[in-house]
Amino acid sequence: MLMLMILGPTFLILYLSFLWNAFSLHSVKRGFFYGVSLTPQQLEDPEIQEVTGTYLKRIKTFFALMAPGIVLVSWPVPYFALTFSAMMLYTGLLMYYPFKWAIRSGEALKAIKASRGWYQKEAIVLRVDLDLAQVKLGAMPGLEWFLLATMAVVAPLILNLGEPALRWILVPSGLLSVVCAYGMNYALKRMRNHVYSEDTQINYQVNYKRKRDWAWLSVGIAMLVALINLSLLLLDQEENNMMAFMAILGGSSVAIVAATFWLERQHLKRIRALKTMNQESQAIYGYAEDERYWYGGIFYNNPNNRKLLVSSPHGTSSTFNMGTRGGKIFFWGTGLLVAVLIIPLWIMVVIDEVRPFSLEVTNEVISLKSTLYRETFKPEAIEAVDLVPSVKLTFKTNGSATSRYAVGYFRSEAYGAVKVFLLGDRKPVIKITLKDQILLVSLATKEETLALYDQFKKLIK
Amino acid sequence: MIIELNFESEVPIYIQIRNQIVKGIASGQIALGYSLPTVRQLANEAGINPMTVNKAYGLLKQQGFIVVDRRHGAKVNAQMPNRKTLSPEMEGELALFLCEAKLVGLSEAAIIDIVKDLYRKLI
Repeated sequence: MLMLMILGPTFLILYLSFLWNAFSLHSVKRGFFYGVSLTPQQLEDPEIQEVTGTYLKRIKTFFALMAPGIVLVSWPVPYFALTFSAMMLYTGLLMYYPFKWAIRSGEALKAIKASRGWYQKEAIVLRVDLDLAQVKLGAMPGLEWFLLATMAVVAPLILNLGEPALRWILVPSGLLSVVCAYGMNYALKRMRNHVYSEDTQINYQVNYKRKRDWAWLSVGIAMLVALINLSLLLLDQEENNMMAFMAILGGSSVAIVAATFWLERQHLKRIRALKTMNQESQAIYGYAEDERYWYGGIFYNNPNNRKLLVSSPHGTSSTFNMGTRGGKIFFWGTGLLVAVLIIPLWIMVVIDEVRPFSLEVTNEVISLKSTLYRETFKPEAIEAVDLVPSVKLTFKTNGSATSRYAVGYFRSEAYGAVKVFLLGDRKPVIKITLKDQILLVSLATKEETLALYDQFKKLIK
Repeated sequence: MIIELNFESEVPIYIQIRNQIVKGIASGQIALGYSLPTVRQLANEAGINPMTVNKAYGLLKQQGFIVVDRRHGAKVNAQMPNRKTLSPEMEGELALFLCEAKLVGLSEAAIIDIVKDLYRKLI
């Protein structure tokens, strides 16, 4: 049920954002259809209507069919690997088909416009504000500084967890995110150079303010992260700080989300106001020449345009120009990042599902290994072995758990902080007391667990 | 002050920059002593070659409309060249304009009216 409560709203938001995106690409009000501009007269052309009608029909059918998927993906099943695979598949489908249809429809519209001779050569006029040309955006702190600060706070905790696998995944991925943030910041600095857009000076002004706001928000988030970590450290000493920790975690998450929405709302309001001003001033705007480089109104690839970021014809967002070196690096870098992070995670989840952990017991060493968590110790290190009828885990500190297994660091009602390797219905459970921690182990069946307990008992005699 | 650069125009970009800065100064949109963007800043902003901007600034400096200081970059000249006469180039351009105006049938009085109107509108 908890999974349904968490995944349900998450996938509902994901679904709605893709739905909104797909319909915003078909904008009668703005006169843009999948990146292609059409006048009301051009819209009445039967071929044009066929293309736009087919797109709308496909999108409506697709999203109607995908709606029940929100519940299906979030429905609690005993196999997490299945849920995870369904999540990946669902997200992939939401991305692939609407993008594919938008690009196809956009290309079809461009072909029709070209065949009708509707593309007229327009003057490409760039407007440069002499005041804003002198604004030094590079002086503003960027996201990479926030991430570096977070890394400085979080890295010692990760390194102290004593899990080599976790170190090798989290620390490099943290560093990678710093590098990516640096790239993003570099891109933002270059944003002021984008061309062919009526929004040039608007973006200068808004992004300057946006960057300053985000810098302050970053400092706030870094402080909250430090606070959360501090509360985690306190939690290790005080048993009853759970509620305080949850309150800090929940409260700070809500504060971050609220601040983000509020800031973006202010920025969007400013963008709209400036755009209205710009329209009223009857700005010269040469879009028609440029639309051949838009694909579905989503991707932009113009090698002749040196600008890294360009304003989207739909809405207020910007997109990378894949015709530039920076744009290519961002596009393929993002793909690589997803591949490097998601695919190994997927493999790990499947391995965990098939074999949550392996157990090796010899006279010299006892070893429990999962993909992320392991514990190896000598029989002499065992201070006591007990068989407890059952165990209740209250909180997952750092581990993975489904209804079938639990592996990693948890807090239990009876024993406080424990490291667990649990399978089956967890009745009974072997409690192994080591010098500095308590291990809880159970196998798939009661008989197997009892046999293992006997084996431990013999070893420590 | 916003300058507009038309990339399809037959007028070279450096002339467009020069002309718009001159218009800006004359109309008061650019104040005397105003710091212009550096060559690199303006080139970066417009996505054009720094040499193009350099050429425009060079022309403005040569005509005495801006001064270039090594420490402070380009600035609009606080003391405009108060020659009270037209340069030979300007006289040449005006002569050509008058010839063209006559060829399209404008009388002397009509030309003077147009000049007066434009002067009031622009400056």
